[in-house]
Amino acid sequence: MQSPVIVIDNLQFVRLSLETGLDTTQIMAYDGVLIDSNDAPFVQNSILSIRRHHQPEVYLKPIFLCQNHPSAFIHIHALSDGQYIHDKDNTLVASKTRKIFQKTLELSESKPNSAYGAAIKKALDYMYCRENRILQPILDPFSIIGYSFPEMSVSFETHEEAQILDALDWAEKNELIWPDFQEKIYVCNQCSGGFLSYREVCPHCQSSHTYGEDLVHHFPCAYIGPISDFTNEKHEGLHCPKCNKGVHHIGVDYDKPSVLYHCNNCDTKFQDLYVKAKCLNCKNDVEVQYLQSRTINTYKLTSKGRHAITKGFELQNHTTDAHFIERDLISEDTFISLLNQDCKRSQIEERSIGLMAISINNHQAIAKEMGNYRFKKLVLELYDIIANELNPLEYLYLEQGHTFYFNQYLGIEDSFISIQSSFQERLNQLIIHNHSGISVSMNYQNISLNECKDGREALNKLKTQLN
Amino acid sequence: MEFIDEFFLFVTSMDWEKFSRYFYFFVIFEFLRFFVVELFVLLLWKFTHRFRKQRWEKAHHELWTRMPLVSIIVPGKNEGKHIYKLVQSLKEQTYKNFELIVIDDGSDDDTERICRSLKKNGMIDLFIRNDVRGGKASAANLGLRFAKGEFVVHLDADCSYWPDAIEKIVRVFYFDHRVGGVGGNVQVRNYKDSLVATFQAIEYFDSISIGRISSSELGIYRVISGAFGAFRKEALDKIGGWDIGPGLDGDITVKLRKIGYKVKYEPDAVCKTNAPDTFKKLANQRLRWDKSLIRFRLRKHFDVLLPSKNFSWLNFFSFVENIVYNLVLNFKWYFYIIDIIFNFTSLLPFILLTNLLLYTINFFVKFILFSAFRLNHKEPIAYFIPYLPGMVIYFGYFLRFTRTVAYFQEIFWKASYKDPWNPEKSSKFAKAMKL
Repeated sequence: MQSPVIVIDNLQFVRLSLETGLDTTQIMAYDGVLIDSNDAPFVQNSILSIRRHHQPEVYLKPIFLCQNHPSAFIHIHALSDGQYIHDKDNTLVASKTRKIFQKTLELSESKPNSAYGAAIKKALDYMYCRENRILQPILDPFSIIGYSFPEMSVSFETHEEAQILDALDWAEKNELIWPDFQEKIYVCNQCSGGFLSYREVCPHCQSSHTYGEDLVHHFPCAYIGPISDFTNEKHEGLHCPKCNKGVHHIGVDYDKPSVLYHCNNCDTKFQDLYVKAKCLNCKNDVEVQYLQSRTINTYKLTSKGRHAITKGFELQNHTTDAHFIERDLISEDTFISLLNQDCKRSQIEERSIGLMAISINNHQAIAKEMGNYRFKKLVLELYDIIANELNPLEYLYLEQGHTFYFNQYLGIEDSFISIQSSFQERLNQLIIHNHSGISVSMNYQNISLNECKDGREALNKLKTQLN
Repeated sequence: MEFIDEFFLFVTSMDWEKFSRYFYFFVIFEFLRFFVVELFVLLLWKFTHRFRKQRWEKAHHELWTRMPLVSIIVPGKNEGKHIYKLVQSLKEQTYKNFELIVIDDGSDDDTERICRSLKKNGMIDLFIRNDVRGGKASAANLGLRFAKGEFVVHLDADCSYWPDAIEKIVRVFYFDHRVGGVGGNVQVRNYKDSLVATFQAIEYFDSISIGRISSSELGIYRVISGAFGAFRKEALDKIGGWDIGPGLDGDITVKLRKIGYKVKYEPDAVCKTNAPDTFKKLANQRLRWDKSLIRFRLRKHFDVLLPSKNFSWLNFFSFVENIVYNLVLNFKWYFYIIDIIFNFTSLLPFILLTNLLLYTINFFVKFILFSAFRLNHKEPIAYFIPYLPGMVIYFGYFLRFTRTVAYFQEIFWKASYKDPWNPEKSSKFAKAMKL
């Protein structure tokens, strides 16, 4: 059995093989790792175990492969640092290892305050220590979106890989990384699955059991009909059913002005085939216009990113929902506190203050139809519409992503009617222009704060009314 | 004053012999045919109406009992802007069992977008767009190919229809089961838009609303208007639908008659259309229409005038009447003018003025008298009276001159085959095959 420790140019490397097995806790003690095995699962497991580790002393460790692995997993090259096959590789391996080690000394321990903080920190650290390596997407049939970023993927489960794009968007928005466009993809609006089966379906019954036929126009007699009208057993080629003459030369005595489709399921004829995409992951069947569009980029570290990695992250908070990042959303507790003050004000100053609620009744159905991503964008647009109607004394609270609560000063009925009509009008415009075919059912309710002793009671009353 | 005295003397000194010599054209060809005969037929029609009442009621009952599917075909190019109004007009129809088929014949505006939207909202049953224009006949034939109804109604997109129009036009098929096609009563909607539109409104009233009652009663009705015509689908299938135009309305009517179907006019089925609002547009329209008399009557369907196993005296008479009154007399009028100029040179101003007066009086009397036969008594009549003197110029000179040009163009140069109304790819075949 070979010694598990190899010294190269005064650097100590641990050699991992099927005999030695893998113990990530011991790796910390060495300068680098050599994986000496032709067993692909072992190689894959070893690399992933190291790169997935939570401690930078482990996950940043240089890894060199002692054998060629043409059939090993596709992330192997992105997650390893090269090969150590011959003695002549000594210099290169030692040099790379020292450089990585030097870089690791510059790293700060701080992590961005984000849901994806750990994953981003690991990926950026890795990029920094590998001479500002570029984050490259790889076509990956095992990734739910069809692409993977190996340096990021190690931090996510396979079914969570869509979140990598959200994390990268966040890092890009905070100028930690710089994108370079590679590809635009469409993914399922429910599960972000990138494996979609596109089908042409009947616009009436959505069945894909359809067939199309060219329409043929015979110039001399003005007959026009499906090409099957022009074929019969008596004649070869095309033969006009009206004037009983042969139809020979396209563009000369006939043309094909269009195509007509027939649905075998509902017997409808149509020309405007719908294209639907069925997600192979979650079986969601959705019109292509409702698919979620995502951009696949390569990324490189920005100077701000390098600064953050070495000096610490000073970034804005990352809410759990990336879509509401730029909105000053308030929590229910804050909203109730503000309402408490309004209740007191309404009693002391005898001002008429109302509490309004606008709720999307069929939010689940819409989200199912449009997909969560687009639904959130819709809610965001609604949020902006309402927020624009409010004055500085009024505040807006969004509950569960589908119900808006806000206070209203002065003439309750008039203001409410005006905001309701304005809201309805703009909502209709929004739906007509951006989401035609989506039916949105809204519930409008209001109460007077003068009748309530505190904000909690007012909010509960309104919720009861909504229900 | 001297001229008036002389004119008065000319009129008062005229005996019957002189009158018939000076004004034979008016008396024989205009007054007798278009006043006396039409009045007689109208009176007969009015008088016998009560005897047909029971038969009409039976037809009405049969229609509502059977409730046949009616396929409404609307072929057209760049008609998107009219389609929504048409759909609304059809929604108001008393007869609801119809399918609406819209054929877009290669529009290059937003017709496709509008129609697809209406289709999506269930306001059109079948919409087919041809990316390449094929002509009105092919568009109508495409609609016919997919029509499922027992009866087919052909409409123009820019027309609107009285709420009972479909019911009334389809009812005729149950009144007489030998009827293969029915023409609707086309009236001018934009009669206040311009002088030429007003003239056309009067003309339509005279020659369509009333004139076709008499031609239908006489059995010589010859043009089922493309703006509003109904057909028995079985009959259309037998004749292979529409052939290449222009003038396909008259052509299909003749084709129906030739295979033995009756063709009727239904004054109760009213359709409103926009008439050309300038003389130039009107002239272009009439040049196209008038050429079809030469093309279809004298060329394509000349066999109607010849003995054959399908010979029909009624068709023969219809053709002869059409050719005589529209073609022969049109040229005869020029001979009449030459005759007057050379033989009565000194009396020429008096004869022309008298002619003018005779025609004007004829128009007034005819218009007012025939108004009694109109179906909707709420229709404005007084509005048109000041324009009646102008009709002498409109009918007697403008339309006559346009017709003459059209006949010459078609007889000598077969101009209808070059009309851009129909795509060249089809017209060249029609010309080669003498269609």
